[in-house]
Amino acid sequence: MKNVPFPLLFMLISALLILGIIVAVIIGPASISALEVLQALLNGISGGLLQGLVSDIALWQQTIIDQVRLPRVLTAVLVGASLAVCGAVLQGLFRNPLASPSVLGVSSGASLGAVVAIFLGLAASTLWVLPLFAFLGAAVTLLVVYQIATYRGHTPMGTLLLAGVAVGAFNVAMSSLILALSLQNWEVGRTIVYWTMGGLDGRGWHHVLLILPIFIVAFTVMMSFERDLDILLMGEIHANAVGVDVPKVRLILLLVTALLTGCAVSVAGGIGFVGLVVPHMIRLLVGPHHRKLLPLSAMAGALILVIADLMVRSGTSDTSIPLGVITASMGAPFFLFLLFKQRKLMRG
Amino acid sequence: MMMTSFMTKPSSSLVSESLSFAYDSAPVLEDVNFSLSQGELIGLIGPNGAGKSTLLRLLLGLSQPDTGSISIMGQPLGDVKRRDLARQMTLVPQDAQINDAFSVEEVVAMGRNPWLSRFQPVGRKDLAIIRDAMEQTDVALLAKRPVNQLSGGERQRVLIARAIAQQTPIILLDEATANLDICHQLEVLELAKSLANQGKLVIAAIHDLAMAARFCDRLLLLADSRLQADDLPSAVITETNLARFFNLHAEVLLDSHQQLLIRPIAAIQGNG
Repeated sequence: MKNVPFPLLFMLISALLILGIIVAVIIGPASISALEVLQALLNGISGGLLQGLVSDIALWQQTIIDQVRLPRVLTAVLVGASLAVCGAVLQGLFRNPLASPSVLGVSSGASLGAVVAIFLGLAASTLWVLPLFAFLGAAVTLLVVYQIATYRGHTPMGTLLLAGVAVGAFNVAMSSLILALSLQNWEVGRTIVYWTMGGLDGRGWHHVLLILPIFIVAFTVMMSFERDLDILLMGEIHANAVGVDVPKVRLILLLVTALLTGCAVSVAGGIGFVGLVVPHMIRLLVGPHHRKLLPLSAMAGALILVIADLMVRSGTSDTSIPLGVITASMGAPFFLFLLFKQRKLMRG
Repeated sequence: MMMTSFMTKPSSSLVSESLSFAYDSAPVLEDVNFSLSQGELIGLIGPNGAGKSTLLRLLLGLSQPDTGSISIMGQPLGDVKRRDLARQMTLVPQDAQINDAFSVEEVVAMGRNPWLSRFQPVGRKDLAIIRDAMEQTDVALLAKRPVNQLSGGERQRVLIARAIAQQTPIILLDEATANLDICHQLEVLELAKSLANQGKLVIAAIHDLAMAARFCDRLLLLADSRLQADDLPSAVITETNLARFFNLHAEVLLDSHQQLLIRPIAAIQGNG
């Protein structure tokens, strides 16, 4: 397939993302007109300086935009971008299009960490406990999976994915066990169930501020390894030959991926398929170069999650569909479509 | 065009001293000693399982020797960082299927990796080096083609171009001719020879003994996990050595161009 030029795709996805963010802020149960939303946004950006000039919109409207809708949409942007970029890095690192935070057990590891934090009653103390435990769960899972699959410096990808599935299943079982143990305590059980379902209800600025710095750091580190990731696609022996310190690069990228996945999961719960499908789709469009793949995946992941969350919110309040269900039901058919298409290509 | 500047340098660039390596207590290499200099084309020969691949892995620092040491340009190999090592020595891997749709130019550009810092893009000087490497290996016309659409011989030349672009004084070739037809084998070995003539040290693990004898300046014969011979091809490829180490009953002749000719007669059975 002919590659789509990077600038074209970059501009297209940016435009859609900006449009998506605006639409997502406009739509909501409280009726605030598009014009008023734009005014509120302008007020926000200008720090209230232009308030008099633009026009006066009601304080409650400004509050809903500032404190409810905008942070929620930005959380969706950051979570989607994080999951997609982690998927892109893992797929490159393991030379396998099936690698993703959820397939390798990293997401369930992060969930287990978070569930433990809630169970022990630590999560209520400060905001940072949940992401910290989620990161630890993700990092431990990733290192365990990697160690199981590595023998004498070789990491066969089949073994790695199987190890990921096995350890992931163990993580899920442990989370369920803890949930079962905590059912007697109604409050803890409810918090865990609510949290594992995932979603962006009630996410505020503190969530944005939690994930934003980690996203920036992780993304910068990932981009600084774009050439190493390209070279690793050729195989370990090639990478060694041209001076890539494979174990070191893998360790750094795995830790960064675990950190960012842990953070995204701690903010939004388990959201599948974004990390798997988005980078895959972008790779089909622009080719294997991580220099293009990483930023475009981040933007497309953000866009998809904003749209998915919009679909969640447009349901009525008593029958709202969990976010993870929406991403999975959009992602799974698309993934199957890719598989069929690849099969056709192979047949020639 | 012959560049002999490197050849006058007397010191050895790659030295192995009493090198030993075992896989789960089964010895693969025992007490291997050699000393190689710039400008030489060295053939690494031996029957299957003699430890050639292991030796290459040790030379690349991918495995650690149990005892003994390797030094490169006078420095112990263990002290050299991967990136610095890749400025001294590179490997042309055995023809491996490359699945990804990188272009020929992009693969050759990967050879510049050890010379570029993290965010530094490929510069104009690098591009000139890349172009020159592609011309030397005759793949310049394929520059924009994806590597996964090339033939085995073309792909091997692209990988050699990458090694040239890396500008290392030492190049290892791991069975670089194994999957090629005779014409492409010849091309690759001629290329290796010309790199040695430019002053590089080229070490080629190679199966075809006649080809090895014809092109290499010196042969290292590995068998039964030891270095059994380290000499001129005519002194290594002998009827005695073929019988002893390759279990091959053969006649070694000289053809009308004074080239070694090996006429296999029979495999020697059951003498272990």
